[in-house]
Amino acid sequence: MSSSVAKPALASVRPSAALTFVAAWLVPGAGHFLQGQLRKAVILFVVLTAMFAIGLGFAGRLFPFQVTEPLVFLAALAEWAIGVPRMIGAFTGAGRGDVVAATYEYGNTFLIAAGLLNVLAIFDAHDLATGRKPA
Amino acid sequence: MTSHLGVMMLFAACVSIVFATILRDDATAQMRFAGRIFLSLVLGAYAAGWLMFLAFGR
Repeated sequence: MSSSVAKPALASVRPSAALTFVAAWLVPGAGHFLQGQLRKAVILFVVLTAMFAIGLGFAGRLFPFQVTEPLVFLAALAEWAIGVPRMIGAFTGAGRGDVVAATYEYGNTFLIAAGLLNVLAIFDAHDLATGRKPA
Repeated sequence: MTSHLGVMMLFAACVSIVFATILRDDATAQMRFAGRIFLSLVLGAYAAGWLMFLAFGR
Protein backbone atom coordinates (compact mmCIF):
# COMPACT_ATOMS: atom_id res chain seq x y z
CA MET A 1 0.00 0.00 0.00
CA SER A 2 1.48 3.27 -1.05
CA SER A 3 1.57 6.00 1.48
CA SER A 4 -0.78 8.75 0.41
CA VAL A 5 -0.81 10.43 3.80
CA ALA A 6 0.75 13.86 3.58
CA LYS A 7 3.82 14.37 5.71
CA PRO A 8 3.48 17.06 8.33
CA ALA A 9 4.80 20.37 7.17
CA LEU A 10 8.08 21.55 8.59
CA ALA A 11 6.30 24.50 10.16
CA SER A 12 4.26 22.18 12.36
CA VAL A 13 7.47 20.95 14.01
CA ARG A 14 8.28 24.46 15.16
CA PRO A 15 7.21 25.63 18.62
CA SER A 16 3.81 27.17 19.08
CA ALA A 17 3.15 30.87 18.83
CA ALA A 18 2.52 31.09 22.58
CA LEU A 19 5.83 29.41 23.44
CA THR A 20 7.64 31.63 20.94
CA PHE A 21 6.02 34.71 22.47
CA VAL A 22 7.04 33.78 26.03
CA ALA A 23 10.57 32.78 25.02
CA ALA A 24 11.04 36.02 23.05
CA TRP A 25 9.89 38.00 26.07
CA LEU A 26 12.17 36.18 28.49
CA VAL A 27 15.35 36.18 26.41
CA PRO A 28 15.90 38.67 23.58
CA GLY A 29 16.23 36.76 20.31
CA ALA A 30 14.96 33.46 21.72
CA GLY A 31 11.77 33.69 19.67
CA HIS A 32 13.71 33.99 16.43
CA PHE A 33 15.98 31.16 17.55
CA LEU A 34 12.95 28.90 18.04
CA GLN A 35 11.73 29.88 14.58
CA GLY A 36 15.06 28.86 13.05
CA GLN A 37 16.45 32.34 12.43
CA LEU A 38 19.76 31.95 14.23
CA ARG A 39 21.53 34.99 12.79
CA LYS A 40 18.70 37.35 13.73
CA ALA A 41 18.49 35.72 17.16
CA VAL A 42 22.17 36.30 17.88
CA ILE A 43 22.05 39.94 16.71
CA LEU A 44 18.94 40.70 18.79
CA PHE A 45 20.37 38.98 21.86
CA VAL A 46 23.71 40.78 21.69
CA VAL A 47 22.36 44.25 20.90
CA LEU A 48 19.38 44.26 23.27
CA THR A 49 21.32 42.74 26.16
CA ALA A 50 24.12 45.23 25.54
CA MET A 51 21.64 48.11 25.55
CA PHE A 52 20.24 46.93 28.88
CA ALA A 53 23.75 46.54 30.33
CA ILE A 54 24.77 49.98 29.06
CA GLY A 55 21.67 51.42 30.69
CA LEU A 56 22.65 49.91 34.03
CA GLY A 57 26.26 51.01 33.51
CA PHE A 58 25.05 54.55 32.94
CA ALA A 59 23.40 54.51 36.40
CA GLY A 60 19.89 54.18 34.99
CA ARG A 61 17.03 53.16 37.24
CA LEU A 62 14.96 49.98 37.16
CA PHE A 63 11.58 51.54 37.86
CA PRO A 64 9.01 49.90 40.15
CA PHE A 65 5.35 49.55 39.21
CA GLN A 66 4.02 52.72 40.79
CA VAL A 67 0.44 53.41 39.73
CA THR A 68 0.35 56.83 41.36
CA GLU A 69 3.10 57.99 38.98
CA PRO A 70 1.93 57.20 35.43
CA LEU A 71 5.30 57.87 33.75
CA VAL A 72 7.13 55.69 36.28
CA PHE A 73 4.54 52.97 35.70
CA LEU A 74 5.01 53.15 31.91
CA ALA A 75 8.80 53.09 32.30
CA ALA A 76 8.51 49.99 34.50
CA LEU A 77 6.25 48.35 31.93
CA ALA A 78 8.79 49.05 29.17
CA GLU A 79 11.69 47.72 31.25
CA TRP A 80 9.78 44.53 32.11
CA ALA A 81 9.35 43.87 28.38
CA ILE A 82 12.85 42.39 28.44
CA GLY A 83 12.32 39.52 30.84
CA VAL A 84 15.43 37.78 32.14
CA PRO A 85 17.80 40.78 32.08
CA ARG A 86 15.20 42.75 34.08
CA MET A 87 14.81 39.88 36.53
CA ILE A 88 18.58 39.58 36.96
CA GLY A 89 18.71 43.32 37.57
CA ALA A 90 16.00 43.03 40.21
CA PHE A 91 17.61 40.07 42.00
CA THR A 92 21.11 41.53 42.01
CA GLY A 93 19.98 44.91 43.27
CA ALA A 94 21.30 46.68 40.18
CA GLY A 95 19.56 49.67 38.69
CA ARG A 96 19.01 51.71 41.83
CA GLY A 97 19.54 54.78 39.69
CA ASP A 98 21.89 57.60 40.60
CA VAL A 99 19.90 60.77 39.98
CA VAL A 100 22.91 63.05 40.32
CA ALA A 101 25.01 61.07 37.83
CA ALA A 102 25.58 62.87 34.52
CA THR A 103 24.51 59.75 32.65
CA TYR A 104 21.34 59.00 34.65
CA GLU A 105 18.89 60.04 31.92
CA TYR A 106 20.99 58.34 29.25
CA GLY A 107 20.80 55.16 31.32
CA ASN A 108 17.04 55.36 31.65
CA THR A 109 16.72 55.91 27.91
CA PHE A 110 18.80 52.83 27.13
CA LEU A 111 16.89 50.66 29.63
CA ILE A 112 13.46 51.73 28.39
CA ALA A 113 14.41 51.55 24.71
CA ALA A 114 15.86 48.05 25.17
CA GLY A 115 12.50 46.86 26.51
CA LEU A 116 10.48 48.59 23.80
CA LEU A 117 12.71 47.24 21.03
CA ASN A 118 12.28 43.77 22.51
CA VAL A 119 8.51 44.25 22.15
CA LEU A 120 9.06 44.67 18.40
CA ALA A 121 11.22 41.53 18.39
CA ILE A 122 8.52 39.61 20.31
CA PHE A 123 5.81 40.56 17.81
CA ASP A 124 8.10 39.76 14.87
CA ALA A 125 8.85 36.30 16.27
CA HIS A 126 5.14 35.77 17.00
CA ASP A 127 4.26 36.69 13.41
CA LEU A 128 6.83 34.17 12.18
CA ALA A 129 5.29 31.50 14.41
CA THR A 130 1.76 32.16 13.25
CA GLY A 131 2.80 32.36 9.58
CA ARG A 132 1.65 35.95 9.27
CA LYS A 133 5.20 36.79 8.20
CA PRO A 134 7.01 34.40 5.82
CA ALA A 135 10.13 32.80 7.31
CA MET B 1 31.25 58.27 28.38
CA THR B 2 29.42 61.53 29.01
CA SER B 3 29.66 63.07 25.54
CA HIS B 4 26.11 63.67 24.42
CA LEU B 5 27.09 63.14 20.78
CA GLY B 6 28.88 59.87 21.57
CA VAL B 7 25.97 58.48 23.58
CA MET B 8 23.51 59.57 20.94
CA MET B 9 25.52 57.80 18.22
CA LEU B 10 25.76 54.66 20.37
CA PHE B 11 22.00 54.73 20.91
CA ALA B 12 21.34 55.36 17.21
CA ALA B 13 23.60 52.46 16.27
CA CYS B 14 21.77 50.04 18.60
CA VAL B 15 18.32 51.15 17.44
CA SER B 16 19.23 51.00 13.75
CA ILE B 17 20.73 47.51 14.07
CA VAL B 18 17.58 46.17 15.78
CA PHE B 19 15.22 47.78 13.26
CA ALA B 20 17.25 46.54 10.30
CA THR B 21 17.41 43.04 11.78
CA ILE B 22 13.64 42.90 12.21
CA LEU B 23 12.58 44.59 8.98
CA ARG B 24 15.07 43.15 6.47
CA ASP B 25 16.03 39.54 5.79
CA ASP B 26 19.34 39.37 3.94
CA ALA B 27 22.58 40.73 5.32
CA THR B 28 23.29 43.28 2.58
CA ALA B 29 19.84 44.82 2.82
CA GLN B 30 20.12 44.86 6.61
CA MET B 31 23.43 46.75 6.56
CA ARG B 32 22.15 49.26 4.01
CA PHE B 33 18.92 49.81 5.94
CA ALA B 34 20.77 50.12 9.27
CA GLY B 35 23.06 52.73 7.74
CA ARG B 36 20.12 54.73 6.47
CA ILE B 37 18.35 54.65 9.84
CA PHE B 38 21.58 55.56 11.66
CA LEU B 39 22.24 58.56 9.40
CA SER B 40 18.62 59.66 9.65
CA LEU B 41 18.69 59.56 13.45
CA VAL B 42 22.03 61.37 13.81
CA LEU B 43 21.37 64.01 11.14
CA GLY B 44 17.80 64.44 12.42
CA ALA B 45 19.10 65.06 15.94
CA TYR B 46 21.61 67.58 14.57
CA ALA B 47 18.89 69.36 12.60
CA ALA B 48 16.53 69.41 15.59
CA GLY B 49 19.34 70.68 17.82
CA TRP B 50 20.16 73.54 15.45
CA LEU B 51 16.48 74.46 15.07
CA MET B 52 16.05 74.57 18.86
CA PHE B 53 19.23 76.62 19.19
CA LEU B 54 18.06 79.13 16.60
CA ALA B 55 14.59 79.32 18.14
CA PHE B 56 15.42 79.35 21.86
CA GLY B 57 19.20 79.48 22.20
CA ARG B 58 19.64 83.21 22.65
